[in-house]
Amino acid sequence: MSENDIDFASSDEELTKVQEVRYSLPKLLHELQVERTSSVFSKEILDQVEISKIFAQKKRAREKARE
Amino acid sequence: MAYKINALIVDDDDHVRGFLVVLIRRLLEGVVFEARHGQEAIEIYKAEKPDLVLLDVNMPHMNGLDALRQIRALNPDAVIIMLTSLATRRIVEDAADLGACNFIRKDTPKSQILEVITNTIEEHLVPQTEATQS
Repeated sequence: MSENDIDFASSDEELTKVQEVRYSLPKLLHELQVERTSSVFSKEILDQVEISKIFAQKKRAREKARE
Repeated sequence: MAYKINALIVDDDDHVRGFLVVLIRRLLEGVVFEARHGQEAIEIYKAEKPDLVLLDVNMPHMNGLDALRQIRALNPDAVIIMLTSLATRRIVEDAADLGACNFIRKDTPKSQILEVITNTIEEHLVPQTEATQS
């Protein structure tokens, strides 16, 4: 076996050692915000049905926040 | 159903404004004020306190989102429907976050525009006003 060959057996063992992955919620939310404001997603043209859905979602969120 | 409420229509395009005035007069019995840009809209809003505002997004002097922010600062319960020709997700979400009650694409069929305006009036203004059969 050459040096460049991958030892799949030991790689699998390495993977099973990973027991916990930590994410930073503020970082994820920031990434989401950047994605929503600067990407193709933010420039997507919406029809009247989609617009109504967004306003309905915002309304539900506001009502939930009030409760 | 004709609602006894006053409205302010804000759009820099005379034809669009005229079209919206004709359309909204089918629904309202009150006065319909007109403004050509955001700054003029704020002045009329302060003076006349209309119940309902139809506000274009892209306008000279002051755009619709800035005007929306200022009107909501004057009256947090202001009932405002935004209008645009180009409804990108970002503009729609910004308008919703700033407190707009609804949003209409200008190329929406007339019947659907009337439906959105009627639904907004029913949801936000009817408990405060008297609706009469016409």
